[in-house]
Amino acid sequence: MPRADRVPFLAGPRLIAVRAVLNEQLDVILIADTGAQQSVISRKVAQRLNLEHPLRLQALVGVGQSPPVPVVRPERLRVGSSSVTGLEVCVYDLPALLGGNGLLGLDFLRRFRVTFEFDSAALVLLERKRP
Amino acid sequence: MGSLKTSRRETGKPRIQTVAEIERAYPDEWVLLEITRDAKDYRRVAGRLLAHSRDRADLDAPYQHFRADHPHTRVFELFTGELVPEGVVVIL
Repeated sequence: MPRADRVPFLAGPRLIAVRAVLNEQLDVILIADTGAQQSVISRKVAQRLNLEHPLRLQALVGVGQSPPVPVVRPERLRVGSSSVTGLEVCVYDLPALLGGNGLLGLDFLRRFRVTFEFDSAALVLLERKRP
Repeated sequence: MGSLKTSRRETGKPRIQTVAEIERAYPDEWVLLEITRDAKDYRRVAGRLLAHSRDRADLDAPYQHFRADHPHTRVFELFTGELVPEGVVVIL
């Protein structure tokens, strides 16, 4: 029977962030990158929908494009008791106003069956069956 | 301005605090914690405060100093405030 690892989200409703351990030495906060917090449409789409009069102005922060960034390979990345070894990860600073240390990407998440339990504020990682 | 560990008992040894206690004591700051007791819930993780500051860069030197003496000890670096400031919408 695969083991389910329930990892609490950090407090705060805006993003999904969890504590992760790198190389069993440094614990950091990673934002689970599941996409956008708020839907975004292009100006052209807005024009076609006649949405030309904004309700308000809103600050946005996105990763956008960046120059080439270093790729490194930590020995181990662990979330809860679920770990992956040998991942290659990019080195890139999130915008400074974000209180996280990086992103937990699909390269980690796809190793598990993942459930985001918003009602219980937990990321559930289930070991996948080996073929 | 950064600050090295500030919470000590009268014995001179750094006091063990949970992350929840540190969040209350140093709101909206970056903190560096030597982990002495792990827990599934990050707020119940406990340890010795190594440094705290509103400027993340101020943790660099304390981390380097600590790591030089404790190469295998787990250290927790986190921000005690909101992950995303008010008035900002994040798209990743």
